[in-house]
Amino acid sequence: MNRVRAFVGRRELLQQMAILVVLVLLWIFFSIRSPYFLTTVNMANIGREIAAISIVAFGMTFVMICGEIDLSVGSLFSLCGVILALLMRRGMHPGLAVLVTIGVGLFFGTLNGVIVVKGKVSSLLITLGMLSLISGLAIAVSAGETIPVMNKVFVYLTARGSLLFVPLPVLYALLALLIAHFVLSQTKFGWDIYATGGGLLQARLAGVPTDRTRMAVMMISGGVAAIGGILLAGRLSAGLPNSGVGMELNAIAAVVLGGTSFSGGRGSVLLTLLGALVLATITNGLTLLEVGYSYQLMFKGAIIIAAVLLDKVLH
Amino acid sequence: MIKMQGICMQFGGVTVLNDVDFDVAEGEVHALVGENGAGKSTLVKILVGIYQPTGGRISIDGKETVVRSPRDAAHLGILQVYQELSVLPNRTVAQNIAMSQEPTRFGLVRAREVDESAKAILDKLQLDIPVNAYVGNLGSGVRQFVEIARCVSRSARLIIMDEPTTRLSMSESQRLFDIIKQLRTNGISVVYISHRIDDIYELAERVTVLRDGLLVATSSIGSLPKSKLVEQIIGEQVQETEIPADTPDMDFESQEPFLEVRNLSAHRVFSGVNLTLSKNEILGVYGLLGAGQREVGRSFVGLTEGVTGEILLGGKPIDCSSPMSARRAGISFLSDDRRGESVIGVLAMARNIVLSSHHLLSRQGLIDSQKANQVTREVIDRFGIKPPFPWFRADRMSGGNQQKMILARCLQANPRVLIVAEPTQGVDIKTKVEIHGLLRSLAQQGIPSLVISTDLNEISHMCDRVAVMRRGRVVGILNMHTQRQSEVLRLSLEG
Repeated sequence: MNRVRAFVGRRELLQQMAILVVLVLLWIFFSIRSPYFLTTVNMANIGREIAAISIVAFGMTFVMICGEIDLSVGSLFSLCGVILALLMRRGMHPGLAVLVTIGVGLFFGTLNGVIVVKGKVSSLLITLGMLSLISGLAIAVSAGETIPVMNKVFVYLTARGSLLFVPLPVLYALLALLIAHFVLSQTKFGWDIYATGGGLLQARLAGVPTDRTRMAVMMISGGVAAIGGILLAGRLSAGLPNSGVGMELNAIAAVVLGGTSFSGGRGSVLLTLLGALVLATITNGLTLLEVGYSYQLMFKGAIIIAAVLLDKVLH
Repeated sequence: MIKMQGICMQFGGVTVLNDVDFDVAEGEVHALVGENGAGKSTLVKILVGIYQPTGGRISIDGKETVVRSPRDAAHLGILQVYQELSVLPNRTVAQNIAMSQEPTRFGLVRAREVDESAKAILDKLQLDIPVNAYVGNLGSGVRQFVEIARCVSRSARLIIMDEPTTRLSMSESQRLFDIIKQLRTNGISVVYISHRIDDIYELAERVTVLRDGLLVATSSIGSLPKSKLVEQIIGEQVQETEIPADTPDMDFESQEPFLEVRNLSAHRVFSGVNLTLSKNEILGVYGLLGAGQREVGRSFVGLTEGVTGEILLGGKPIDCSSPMSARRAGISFLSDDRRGESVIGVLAMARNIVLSSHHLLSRQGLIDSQKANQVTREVIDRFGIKPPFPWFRADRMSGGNQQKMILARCLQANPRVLIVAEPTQGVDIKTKVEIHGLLRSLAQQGIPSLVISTDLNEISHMCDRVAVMRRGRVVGILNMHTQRQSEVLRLSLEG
């Protein structure tokens, strides 16, 4: 605790408590209203629901702490799912297919990074263009069709399987969380990310390799989008050219709910996970209460707005 | 006119102001002085509504008032001049003065009226600035004058200036003083924050001294000798040691150069600059604003465009094309723009301190956070940074403490040579002496400094030699052990 204190300070702790309080309140509310909510089966459902999205959100946390944004992750999600399904249909070994797919994600992430850094342009605009470009590519590659994934082992490993009642995708997400947290808090690269996002010019002048750092976070974002797409393909047992539509907004919502600032320099993947949990809890709980999808969306939106306002008050 | 009583301010349990009284009379220039972190800036931020005090009252014309926001303050006639920050370079002088208060008819701006009223205000302040010139084309000092004119156009009753002369040349400072005197004759009060005692004696009627968040005294300037004021500010006696006088070797010209600059030029900014710096030396580069010394300093880290020529360190040419490569070569650079180029406000003090030394604190990419904590604690102790909390957000620290923090950052990178621009800007006397002493002892240990400054007094006191620049050229290099300060000034003006 002391070590956290050393670098975090009081207000930030307060903020972490806030999102935790919101989560607990939601859980209490839903468990009172629905006897089914707190069961292991439902908890595992929530876990499966958020595994893919939270991995992408961790990547987005890196990007946003670094002061950038990546809107292309949703369509990259779709593209990677489609490519994976296609490769496996052609008979490629699943393991190899996974590696190739991650390579595709890293490629587009790097492309984003290089254009943004070398071209000295805003990541918001470049990745907005890339969003359209990649989703077009996903439809073209798949010819607009759903490509089924038949491999039982692959589906087991990416979706169905579990270890000691914990679904495998949840384990992957937890592993990703640990790695991401470790990188952000304990490595030179992580500290460079906070510095670059906190003040690009200041960090550059202090000798921080800001260009390399910014390219690296965009690359990571592409890579984890591919992992998310792979997990989703397993869950759906198919590659869908539109499976990731809107995913980037959900990821950003989770990051923002976790208190990572849009202007960069602060944030944490632990809080992003809490943000993703809040969003998934709302969807899951409201579905259990048989609230319509339209109202779910409105409620989710209201929660995001409230959280951002709360963050403002606390700062 | 304005009275603040028993003002208290706390940030997260840290008290920065405790029971401070402060008042300003109509048409008065009231100086506010104190060391870094004494609470001056916080006090005026309360006055303009940026902070809400945690205790105390503010009354205006005898009526108790709550100043909720800078907008609120502006309505009450209280305005602050921010150094060049709030003028728009791509708008004209007149448009800047009228900004967001343009006279309109049916929602359309009446351009002629904008120009005319701007002209009237500039006349009132006896300022000769063309109203149709784009502010970006004017000198940085003039921008500040435009800002003052804007305050006047908003019927200011009280104008706050926080260290207004730090980025002004001497002649511009004199012009500022004339403007302030004009303000006074127009019945406008001024709160003037400065470290320069002489300026205060020229301008102010009364002076209020703060120390560690407490009010020391408010006195009228006429009845307070300078030595007494300095004593009030410091709280104890300090002695400014004349450092260069007793350094062993004064013959720096004939020593082997450690850092060498050969024929450095940048188009239209400076040309043919040759400098040498030996291993135990402090070399100053002095010039009036715009003489090119700033850009010469920035060439060491690749911040000046189109530089040709050579920079050698220890006899070998080094790559100074970017801050990163310069750091690798052993150069640490301290920028003169603390807010815009040095301090990362959202990060904690600790992270700011180690910013240039991530590579030294890590092994195979892993940061040794225990070592980082230890380094931070040592720095806080050694430099006496206040408040002494590593997690404290850097943008909540006072300017002088930020300066110490940034200097500490430069040293953490284990540099072979320091390039420091305006190293003591906006810091109090005591810290200034400390910083001078620090650079001197580093030079004795073999880490020399190149000091770029527009502060004549400072440069002639701390440097062994001074290279004087005028219109982009080095017009002379003076040995300060044998030459006088006035010679530096003479060269910079007519060399």
